[in-house]
Amino acid sequence: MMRRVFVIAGRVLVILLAAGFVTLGMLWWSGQNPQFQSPAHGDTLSTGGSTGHPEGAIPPGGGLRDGTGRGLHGRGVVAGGGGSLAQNLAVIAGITLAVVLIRWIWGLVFQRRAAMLPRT
Amino acid sequence: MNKVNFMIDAGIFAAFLAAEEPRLTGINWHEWLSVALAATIIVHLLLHWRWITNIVSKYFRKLWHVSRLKFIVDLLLFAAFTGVMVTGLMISRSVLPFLGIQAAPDRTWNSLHSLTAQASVILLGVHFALNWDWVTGMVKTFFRRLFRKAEASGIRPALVTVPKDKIRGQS
Repeated sequence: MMRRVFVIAGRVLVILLAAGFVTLGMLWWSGQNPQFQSPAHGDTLSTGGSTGHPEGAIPPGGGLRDGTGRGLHGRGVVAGGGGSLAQNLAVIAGITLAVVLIRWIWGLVFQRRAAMLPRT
Repeated sequence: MNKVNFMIDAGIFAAFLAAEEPRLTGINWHEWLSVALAATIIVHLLLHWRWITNIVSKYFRKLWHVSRLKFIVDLLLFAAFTGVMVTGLMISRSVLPFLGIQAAPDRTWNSLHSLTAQASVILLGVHFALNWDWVTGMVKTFFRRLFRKAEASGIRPALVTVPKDKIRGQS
């Protein structure tokens, strides 16, 4: 039992390590340097309002904004881009249909070619 | 085991779609749902550990195989998911402050979050499509079992026989 727990813990560690390497790669690629500050001294964190917006409301036509007035989560699916739930579903359905069709045609072509080849 | 996998995968798919739409859930739910999704993805990877190690060990032995394509797509999906999670944490308004941490605001995190989120949708579509046979197989098995159970209990869901005299009585 203990061995099993250690094995699972080791695997989780491997996954987290892989995620760590991906994060490092992303930071290197984007040139970003994550900086943290204490919430007590931060000027962007607010407890006012149900959404956390300094004025307690979501600005019309946009998403949440920080204290500087810059949009944090603007229009669009995530952080100012992308589509809605229906659009995301449509993208996934479209890709699925395309891949299934390609694989079907691919299979047809190869099956026909295999059928035409003389048996050895 | 397949049933557990299917249920977890269906849950991940639904949670992913919900997490990709912050307007649907609100920012707080969006963030906490994403954290829960990250934990579930770790469970998903643990359940498929044998497949992952098999593919890694056989990767260079055979030049072309569907599993190889699946592995590459899965690697990219993992990278995209990690990117979404990390950048999401950096612009977090609930999760990090809850832990007593606050990231300094930077617009680049938003752009990266957007980019990786969109990449995740596309890669999830490819991942779903490459595992389409398994999904349809599971759905078919589920309905076959349901049909068998219904037949065993005397219910015939597809064919409902109505006695002729009852039909006459109604008219």
